[in-house]
Amino acid sequence: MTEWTSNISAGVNAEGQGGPALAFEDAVLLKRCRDGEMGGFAVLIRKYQDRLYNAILKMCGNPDDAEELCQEAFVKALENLGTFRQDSGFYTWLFRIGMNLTISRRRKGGRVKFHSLDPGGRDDEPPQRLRDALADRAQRDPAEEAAQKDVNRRVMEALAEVEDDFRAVVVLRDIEEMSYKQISRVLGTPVGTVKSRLYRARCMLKESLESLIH
Amino acid sequence: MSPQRENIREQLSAYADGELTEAEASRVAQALAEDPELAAELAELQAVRELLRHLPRAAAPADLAERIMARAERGRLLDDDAAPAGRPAGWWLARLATAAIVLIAVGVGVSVVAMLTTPSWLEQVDSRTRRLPEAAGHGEALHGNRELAARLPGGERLENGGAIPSAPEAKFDASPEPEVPVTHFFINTDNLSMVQQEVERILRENDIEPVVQQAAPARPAKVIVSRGNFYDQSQLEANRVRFEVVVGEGHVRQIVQELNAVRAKQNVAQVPLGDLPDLARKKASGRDAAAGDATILAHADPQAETRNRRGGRPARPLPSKDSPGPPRAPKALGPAAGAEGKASRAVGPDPGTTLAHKAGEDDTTPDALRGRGRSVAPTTGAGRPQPATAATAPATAPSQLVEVARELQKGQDQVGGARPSVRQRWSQLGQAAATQRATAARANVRRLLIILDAEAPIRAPAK
Repeated sequence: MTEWTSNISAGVNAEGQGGPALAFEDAVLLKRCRDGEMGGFAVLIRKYQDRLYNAILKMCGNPDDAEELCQEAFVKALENLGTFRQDSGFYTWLFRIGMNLTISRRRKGGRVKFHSLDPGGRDDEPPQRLRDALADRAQRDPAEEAAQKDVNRRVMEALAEVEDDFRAVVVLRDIEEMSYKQISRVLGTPVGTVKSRLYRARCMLKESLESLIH
Repeated sequence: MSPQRENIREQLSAYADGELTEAEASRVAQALAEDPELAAELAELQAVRELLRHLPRAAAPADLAERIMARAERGRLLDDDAAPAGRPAGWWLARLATAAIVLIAVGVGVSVVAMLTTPSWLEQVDSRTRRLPEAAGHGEALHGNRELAARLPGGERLENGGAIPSAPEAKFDASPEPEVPVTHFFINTDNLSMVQQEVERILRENDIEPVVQQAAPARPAKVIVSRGNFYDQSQLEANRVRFEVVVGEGHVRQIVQELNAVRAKQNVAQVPLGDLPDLARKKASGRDAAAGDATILAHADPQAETRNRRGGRPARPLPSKDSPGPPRAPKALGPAAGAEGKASRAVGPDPGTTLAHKAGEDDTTPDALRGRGRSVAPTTGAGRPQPATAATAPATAPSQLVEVARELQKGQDQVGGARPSVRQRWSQLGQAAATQRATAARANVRRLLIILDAEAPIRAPAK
């Protein structure tokens, strides 16, 4: 395994924190793809798979559907790589594909349905954030841990009640931590629309989660 | 609620995110300072944001990348459409090649190594027909079978089109074990034990341990070959010693040279089988091969006829539709073997009983036959002699092969067309790739089958 792939496996993110930035740059990886080196795309997948998967999971609420949609998004990206103009960045473009697929699937009444209330995804794969907090967890009170789990479940339930277009904004902002401008590009809506949708979505969640807030 | 206050409220969320301009932010800040309700609402919105941000992040499945690459490749294989416009030239080709490497590396077990690497149907026909003579010790029938297969209806199309039917492969080539190239070497001898010792000495001196050595017959029987007296398989096997060795490609030549020296000392004919197409032609000409006539099927070669005439014996007319030739041939004739100028003959009820070695390796020359009334083989471009085509095989031998080939053709037709679906190809890729790798691993290895047959000495007829 080369240095950069091991770094990717270790979770060094796209912004090149602590890794050889040149090898991580999307433009470099995309050029490798265009030159026929599929290893470049494999690196892109590893680079963004967790973020895209997590965002889609928060959108659809089911790990299996999230994985399928995530795969589909990457495959679509690969298939349309030749038409990608790089004016919006691969990350934004990839999320646009993923979000469009997810929302489209839900609108068609497809298989994507909320039937899992586990915010962490797979039972056998503890969430990254939980893994990072293992030391704290060891000292945690089991009751507190159970309470946190219950909070997360209720948040996910509340999120599931929000309309798709609004939920997408919340997910991209509060979970994926995108800027309004990025969200605008991903969803193809004006920044003003993003702003208003986000406010309304948070208001809806505020009402649903009132007991948790106060 | 005033419109201005409502506007401020809608900006609370963006204010919390720091997404407002300085002017907007200052207006909101001023309103928050004056309106506790707005401030409380901002706190609630921030609390909602924190709840969302603290949701555990789910990690993608560990093998997601591999699965995506496999899915992309599968999609590519199922998509026969041309590359979309705007895609760089050679994009898909490069993508396929690299994806294949990726997939192999992750052990997905499939390869995109060109679909065309799957053995063509024609090769499967050849592979199938190859087994028949080999099983009976008829290795030299290979070339004849290839030509025969090529003559089948649709044979050209199959060869050119490279169709990859699935059903025939499953039916006739179920074993994934790749075939190691085989070289057959036949020696007819009237002293089986001596030749056997010679072969054993050669192998021993070359430090080769036979993989298989069939026990020598306890009492080698001499079979007098003459018109109307043919080997049958039981006779053949009872008078046969087989060695099988596996040697490197470069080593085969040396072994064969030494075996040639042994064979040259024998005073019995070493006659090639003859081309199956000629057998077919013989059959077509109406000659009753099954009746046991020992006949010669020589190629049309005016020079050979001239030579025969000079030798004092009329040339045998070539069998053909127009001129099928005499109804009964005097003997099975062929090129002489050895410098002693012993007469040669070749007979057999089937392709395997006519023992042979390759054209060009023999010391048989047209000159050696001159004056003995033998039909000789035509010379090829470089003037090298080509073994005379001598055959007395009954019509069943070629007809069996024809039947096998037709059966294969029929099997393919039943599959539903010359070209299998992409899904069928996809399912064959893994096996094809594995076979290819295994074959490559054995590329430098060859099986050498040395077959010794006891046969009566054949003396040259008196002039």
